[in-house]
Amino acid sequence: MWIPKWQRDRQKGVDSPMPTQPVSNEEFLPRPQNKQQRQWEKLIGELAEEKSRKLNMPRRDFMRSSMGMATAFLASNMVYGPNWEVDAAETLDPAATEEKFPKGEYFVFDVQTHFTDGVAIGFRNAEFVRNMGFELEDNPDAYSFTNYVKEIFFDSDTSMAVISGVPGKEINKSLEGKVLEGRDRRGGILPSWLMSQRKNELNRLAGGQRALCQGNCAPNHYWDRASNAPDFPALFEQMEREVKKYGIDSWKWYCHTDPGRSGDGFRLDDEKMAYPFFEKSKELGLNVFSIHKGFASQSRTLGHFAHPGDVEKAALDHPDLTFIVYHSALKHGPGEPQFSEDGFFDPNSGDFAWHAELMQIKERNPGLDNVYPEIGSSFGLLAIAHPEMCQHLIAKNVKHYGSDHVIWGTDCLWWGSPQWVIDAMKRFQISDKLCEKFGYEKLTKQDKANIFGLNAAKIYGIDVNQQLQALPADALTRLKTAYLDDGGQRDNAAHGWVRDHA
Amino acid sequence: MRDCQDRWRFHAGVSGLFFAALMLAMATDAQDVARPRPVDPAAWGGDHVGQPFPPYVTGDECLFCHRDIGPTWGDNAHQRTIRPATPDELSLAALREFPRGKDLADQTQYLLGSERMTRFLKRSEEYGKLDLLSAMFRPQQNADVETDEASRENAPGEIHLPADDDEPRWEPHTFADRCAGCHTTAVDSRGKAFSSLSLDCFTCHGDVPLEHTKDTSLALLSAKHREPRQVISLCGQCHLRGGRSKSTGLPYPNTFVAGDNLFRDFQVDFSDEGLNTLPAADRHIFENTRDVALFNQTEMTCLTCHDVHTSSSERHQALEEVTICGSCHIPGTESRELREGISESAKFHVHSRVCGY
Repeated sequence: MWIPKWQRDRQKGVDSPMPTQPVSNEEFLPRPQNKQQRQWEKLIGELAEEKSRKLNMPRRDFMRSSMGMATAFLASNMVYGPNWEVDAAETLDPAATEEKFPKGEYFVFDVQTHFTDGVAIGFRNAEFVRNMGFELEDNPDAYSFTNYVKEIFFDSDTSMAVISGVPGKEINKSLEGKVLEGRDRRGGILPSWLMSQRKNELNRLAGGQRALCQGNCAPNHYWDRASNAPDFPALFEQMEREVKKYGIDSWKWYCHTDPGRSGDGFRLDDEKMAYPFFEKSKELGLNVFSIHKGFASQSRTLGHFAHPGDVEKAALDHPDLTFIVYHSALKHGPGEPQFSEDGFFDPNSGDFAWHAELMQIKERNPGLDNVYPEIGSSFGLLAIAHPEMCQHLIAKNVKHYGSDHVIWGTDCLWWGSPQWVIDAMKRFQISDKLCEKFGYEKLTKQDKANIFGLNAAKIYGIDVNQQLQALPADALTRLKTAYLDDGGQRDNAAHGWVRDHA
Repeated sequence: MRDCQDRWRFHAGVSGLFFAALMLAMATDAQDVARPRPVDPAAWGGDHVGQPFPPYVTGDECLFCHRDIGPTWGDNAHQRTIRPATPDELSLAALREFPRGKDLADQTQYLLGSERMTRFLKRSEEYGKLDLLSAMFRPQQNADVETDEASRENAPGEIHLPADDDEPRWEPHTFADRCAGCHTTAVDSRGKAFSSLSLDCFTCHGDVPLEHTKDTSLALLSAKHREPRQVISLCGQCHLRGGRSKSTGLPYPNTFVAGDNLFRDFQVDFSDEGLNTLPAADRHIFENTRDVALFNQTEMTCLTCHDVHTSSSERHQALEEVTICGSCHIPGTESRELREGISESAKFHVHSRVCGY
């Protein structure tokens, strides 16, 4: 029998601010919790009961506090090993956390944030999100720009964000040849015109620069079927529109999608398709390319184009361009069955599919300086599902590319407010065991500061000192203060469907 | 664009001839005395015959949100109507051993088929076209062993050449003329060019508006949108093998968009005589389609028994016995015994002149 996870949690007295198991999307049978997941969840419940009683506060309120979050990390360490920096004192005193991780310690610049054009798309209810421990509604409001502002800027420490594109192309003209505008251009769930519009609204509201935006246009979006090649006039027209009219700050490419029905995906190192785009972009003065790599199952037939093997030549041939490799090319997420299959992760080397190839590119080209692994979804989801792999992800990124090249992204609000991912990174550390065995270095506060925002700021030309001076006074900060004073906070109720006997 | 009313008259007129012939054929069959009077299968809905395909949302965009489908879709038979040629395939190894075969194997980019034969394909210079190799790989048939899809795709066998060929050659037109309609997506019937390999979400779900996220009834084949005549039409676009487009003469429909009425342009022989010549696997499809299209039966469609996303037909075992079960099972037998010739191992035994087996 299936029951809602929140219902089972209530029965079992579980109210976790961290996910403790994958859950089903109702199409497939939920996988039962494994022994460690059961242990972790049980411990969270026991510790929360004990501590909330000691503090004489309702357990639900306790779990919503920083003490609840600390409890979840502490319980995780007791089960999986010492992966997170957390002290027992933090579970009883918010000041202990405040002292350890002072507010504003890091400038958080999230390069991978999304909302939708008013449509609910099921992510906040998806298999491995169901147990996020947050009140993740999955309706149009939850994916709206309004909720985006709340969850990204009010409910988290994020100071700046890039509104990041998703697959989709705009239609330039009607059948009668009339140039289309706004919604008539279509473009999917988060079109370029909408990202631009909302970026400008947000910055106007804030009275400063809080948001940047990407453009979805890519080399295979406009196709000339007669010559079976890109329709460059149409492509360049759209590029000019996105740069000049929309004011985009980066391209967002999905090489493994084909919204233009070209019949194929494309490679970054394709001299006939990608290179003319690069040259045109340089001409337009836009040099930042954000490329989705990994999470290959998101394509029906073109998943192989999400492999990072094409980054090397493109980056070497275009040292004046910046390539941000989204998801650090993690081939499969923990919600996919292939994640658990043999050969995906090798604990002896710490390598895992496609990420290892991204690392090899830098090994082969130590001088390569224009490739940046981004950690959206990869870090957060591995932190929950496989803390050891998560350490390999970050440690290898830093080892090969340097902490000055690892870029912070969360993929939120797909997974709710990013604060849980931010908290995880603050407490994240590479274990002594892995450092010794694989030659990794412990992360320093400076490493984390780089990752959290300084690296992205450098790429996008943001003066962090100036930003830090401007932020406290801007309208968004004032609104956030009022929201928090009014008792606004993230919700932690868990959703999802699990076996009632699990 | 032709006026809708005129379009209806045109198709109703053409389909009327077909319909009259069908009724005549059925009226002469003594078994049909108890049957209700058949309706004109072309009399409902619309079509896109001769029009360009709408600029539909491609599957890669769909899978961005429908992430539960992606991880398993790669192994789904509907996804593997064309599959990438991986070097370890036995069919490719056999081709390499064939005279002049090494170069041809190296040129092969895609494979089609598995159980009865494997065909070799490469991309044409033209948009939306594939060249088909005249030589084919025929696996050794092992009727006593139940195999899964992966085993079938990699069974041992040998290369065969058509009788009138001296050596294998790439054929530029065969795939477009015979295979494209059911092995690729959105084939433009004028140029016979497809827009994507294998079957995209569009093939079965049609042109789904973005608003389906707010109202799932806007998505064809969602739980709220399974109109039986649309279901048998969209499945029938490929599974009614032997049918033919009136307007193009091709063995696949002319610009069919899921949700359309297939029978406004696609001719199918639903007569008992015709059905009796079909192997059981094909016959049950024709019978069910006929029940829905001609006799307004609404209780059972393909989706009653088949779950495409999970590649499962398990549900059919839980059903009460109905007439269509008689295609394969002996009616009234307690354990639903299979008819003679429909052994467990050969239960999906099929033939198709179009497909070449």
